[in-house]
Amino acid sequence: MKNSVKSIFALVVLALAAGSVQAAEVKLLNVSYDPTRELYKEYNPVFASYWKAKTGDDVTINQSHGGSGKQARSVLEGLEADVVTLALGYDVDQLYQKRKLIPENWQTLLPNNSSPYTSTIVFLVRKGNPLKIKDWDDIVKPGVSIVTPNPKTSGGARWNYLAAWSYALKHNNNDDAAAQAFVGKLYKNAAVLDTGARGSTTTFIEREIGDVLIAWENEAYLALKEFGPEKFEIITPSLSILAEPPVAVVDDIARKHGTTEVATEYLKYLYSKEGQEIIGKNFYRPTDPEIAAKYAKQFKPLELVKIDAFGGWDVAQKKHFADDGVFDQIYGPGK
Amino acid sequence: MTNFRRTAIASVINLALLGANDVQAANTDALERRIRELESRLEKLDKAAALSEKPAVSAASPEVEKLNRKVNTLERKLEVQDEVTTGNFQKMPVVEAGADGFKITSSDKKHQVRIRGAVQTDARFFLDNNANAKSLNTTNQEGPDRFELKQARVWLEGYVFNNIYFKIMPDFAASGNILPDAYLDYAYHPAASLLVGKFKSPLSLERLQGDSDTVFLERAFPTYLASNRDVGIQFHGALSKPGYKTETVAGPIDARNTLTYQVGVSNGSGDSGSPNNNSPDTDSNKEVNARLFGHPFQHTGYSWLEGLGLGVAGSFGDPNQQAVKNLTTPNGVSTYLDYTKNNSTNSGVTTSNGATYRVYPQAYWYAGPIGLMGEYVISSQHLNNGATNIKQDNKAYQVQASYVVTGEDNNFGAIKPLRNFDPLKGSWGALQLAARWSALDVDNKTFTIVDPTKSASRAQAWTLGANWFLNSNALIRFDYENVSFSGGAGTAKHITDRPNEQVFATRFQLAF
Repeated sequence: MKNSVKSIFALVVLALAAGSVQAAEVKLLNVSYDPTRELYKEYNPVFASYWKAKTGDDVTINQSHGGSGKQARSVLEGLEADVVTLALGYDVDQLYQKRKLIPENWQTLLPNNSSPYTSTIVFLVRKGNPLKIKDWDDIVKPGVSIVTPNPKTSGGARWNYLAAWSYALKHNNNDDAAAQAFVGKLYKNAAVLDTGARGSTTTFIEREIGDVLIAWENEAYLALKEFGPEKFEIITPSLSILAEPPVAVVDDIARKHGTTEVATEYLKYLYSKEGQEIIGKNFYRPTDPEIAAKYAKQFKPLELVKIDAFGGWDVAQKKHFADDGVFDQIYGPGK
Repeated sequence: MTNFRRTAIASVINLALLGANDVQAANTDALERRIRELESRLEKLDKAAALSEKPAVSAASPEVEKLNRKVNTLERKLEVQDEVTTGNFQKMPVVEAGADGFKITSSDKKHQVRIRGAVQTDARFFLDNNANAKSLNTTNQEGPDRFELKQARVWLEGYVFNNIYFKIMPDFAASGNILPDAYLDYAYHPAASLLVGKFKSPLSLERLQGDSDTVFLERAFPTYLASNRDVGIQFHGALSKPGYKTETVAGPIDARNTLTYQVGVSNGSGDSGSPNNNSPDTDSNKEVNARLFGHPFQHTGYSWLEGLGLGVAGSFGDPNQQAVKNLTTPNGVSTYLDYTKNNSTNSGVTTSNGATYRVYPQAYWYAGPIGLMGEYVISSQHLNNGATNIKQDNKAYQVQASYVVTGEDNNFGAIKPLRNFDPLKGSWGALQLAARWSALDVDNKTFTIVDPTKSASRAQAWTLGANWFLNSNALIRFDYENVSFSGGAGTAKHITDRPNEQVFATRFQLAF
C-alpha cells in the first residue's frame, strides 16, 4: 500500500513537473544569398527536429533570399537577421565594418573560416552544346550570349567575375590589362545582368535567353535535376574559383532577440554529418572530408583558385567592385 | 466549296425528292441512299474547302528567331530594371506637401521633418475714444486703431529614431523674443517622456491651446497670471483606460489621452513672461510646476460626456528680485496694472521677491458643435519695492462658450470645415460663434506700491466672437470686447473707474 502511494505520488510529481515546463517557441531569421533556397528548405526542418529533441523547444526558421550584396545591405538597413549565410566573406564582414553587428573575429568562430560548404562556378548550356562551349575562351567569342548576374548586387556574380579573371591571368602571363580586356569581352556578351544568381537562372531557363549561363555549380546541377538533362548540359571549365560562402550569427540582433544559443547551434549543425549530407545532396561541396568523399564523384575535377590569390576579399572588392573599380570601368553607362 | 454550290446541290436533291412522289416505293430507297452519298461528299468538300482557306504555315526564318530573342532579352532587361527601380524607390524618402504642411519621411519611417507655418494679421479698432480716455496719461491711453502683423512663424518639427521629437519655432513678427519654442522631447514611452528646452508652461489651459486654435483673438485674463513660455525640463506622460492604446503626443500639449501628467522644473519667467534667448537667467532659484488633466468619461460609451476634461495645474517658486510685467487687456493690449507707476510713498522698482505659487483648476467640455471652457487661478507672489514688501494674491477667472453653427464638431484643437469655402459651389466653410466672460481681481495690497489712479483693481471683460473657417488652414476671426474697470483713474482723493475699453478686432490667419 505504502509503495503504491509512493508510486502514485511520484507520478503526480513528474506529471506536474512536466506540465510546468512548457516548450519555448523560438523564431530565427536566416538572411541568405540567392540560390540556397532548396538547401535551407531541406535543412531547416531537420535542424528543428534536432533542436526539439535536444531542448524540447520549437524553432521556426524564416528565410530571406536575394543577391548577397543586397542582402547584406538590407541587414545593415534594419532587417533583423539572427544569422546570415551569404555568398562571400566581404558581404558578411560589412556587418562588422559598417555597424559592428558581429564581432571582428567572426570568421574564426566556426570551422573552415566559417564556411560549412564550398562551391565553384561552371557553365550551363543548351542541350547539345550547339556553340561547342568548352572553356572561358569560348564564351567571350563574338556572338555568344551570356547570362550572369550583376556583381554590384550578387555575390555569385563576383565569384563569376573573379573566375574569369583568374583564367585570363593564367593564360596571359598574369597580365592585368589582358585580364581586364578578357573580362570586358565577357560582359559585352552579357544579355541581361540580373540582381542575383536565381534571377539569372530564371532568365536562362524559363525565359530561354542566352546561350550560356555562368552559374554556381550547385545551381547548375539543381537546374539539371529540376528541368532534366535532356534540356541542358553542364560544362565544367578547366579553371574556376573556389567559392567559400560563409555563415555567421548576427550577435547584436540575436542578443536582442534572445536567440544567440539556438542561432549558434543552427550554424554549427551545418557542420554535423546530417548537415553535411544535406549539403552534398543539394550539390554543394561538403567540408567534412568523409561526406565530401562520398559526394566527390558528382563533381567534375577542375583547377580551383582561392580568393587569397586576389589578396583577399577586401583587396578584390576595392579593386574590382567598388565604385569606379575595374567593373565600372568595363561596364559603366555608355560602355 | 461555296455556299452557293452547296445550296444548288441541295435544291437538286429536293427537286429529285419532289419528283420521286410519282415513283414507286422501291425507288425511294435508292433515292435515300443517293442523298446520303451526296451529303457525305458535301461534308468532305466542306472540310477540303476549310483547309484550303488556311494560309500555309511557313517555317520561322532566322531573322524572326533573332528578333524574338531580342524582344525576350529586352523584356527581361526591363523586368530586372523594374526590380532595381522598385527597390530603389522603396528606399527613397517620402515627400508630402499638403494642408498639413510639408513633410519628408524616411523610407523606414523612423525619421521625419515637417515644415509648418502660421501667419496672423490683425486689425484693431477702438470704438470709444471719448474724452475720459484722452484724459489718461499716455501709457494708459488706448492705443491707436491699427493693423499689425501678430505672428509670422515658420518652423521645423519632427522626430528622429521614431521617438525623439523636436520643434524649432521662430516668430519673425515678435519683437525681441523671436524663438518662442525650441525643444526636444524624448518620448520613450507614452507614459514617460522627457521634454527639455523652451516650451509652454503647463499651467493655464487656454495657454496650452494651440496659438492658431484659440477661440478668440487673444486669451483671457487667467492666462496672463502664468508664464507664457519658460526654459526648463519636464517629465510628462499619458495613460489610457485599460484596454485602450495610449497615443504618444509629443510636446507640452496632450488633449487626447485619458489621463495626462506633467512635472517640470524651469527658470521661472514670471507672469506672462517668455524669456529672451539673449538674456540668460540670473536667478538660481527655480520654479517647479505640475499639471494633472484627465478625460474621466473617455471610452465609457457616454458620448456626450467623452469630451469632458478636468484638471488642475500649479507652480511654486522663490524668485529673487525678478522683474514683474505690467498686465494689459486682451484685445486692446492697454495696460491696466502698471508696476512702473508707483504711488507717492514708493519710488523704486517693483520686483517679485520671495515665495510664489499658482493654482489653476481648469476644465473644458466638447460635445458635438458645443464647446465650454473655464479656468480659475490664484496667483500669489511677494512683491518688493524699496522698504515695502507685500504678499500679493491676484485672482482671475474665465468661462467661454462656443458653438459651431455649420455642424462641425467643436474641439480643443482646430475646427476643420466639412466643406471648404467655395461660394460658386454654394459652400461657405464653417462658422463658430463664441462668447466669453473673464475677470481679474488685483489684490488690494498691491496699491501700497502702485498708484491706484493709474492701475485698476479689477478688470472685467465680456467678448463676443465669430470665427469663419474657410478651410482647414485659413480662417477669419471677428471679436468684440468690452472691458470695464474698477479704479485706475481719478485722483488720490477721489479714485474713479477707468473708462471702458471697447475694441473690435479681426484676424486673418493661415496655418499649415
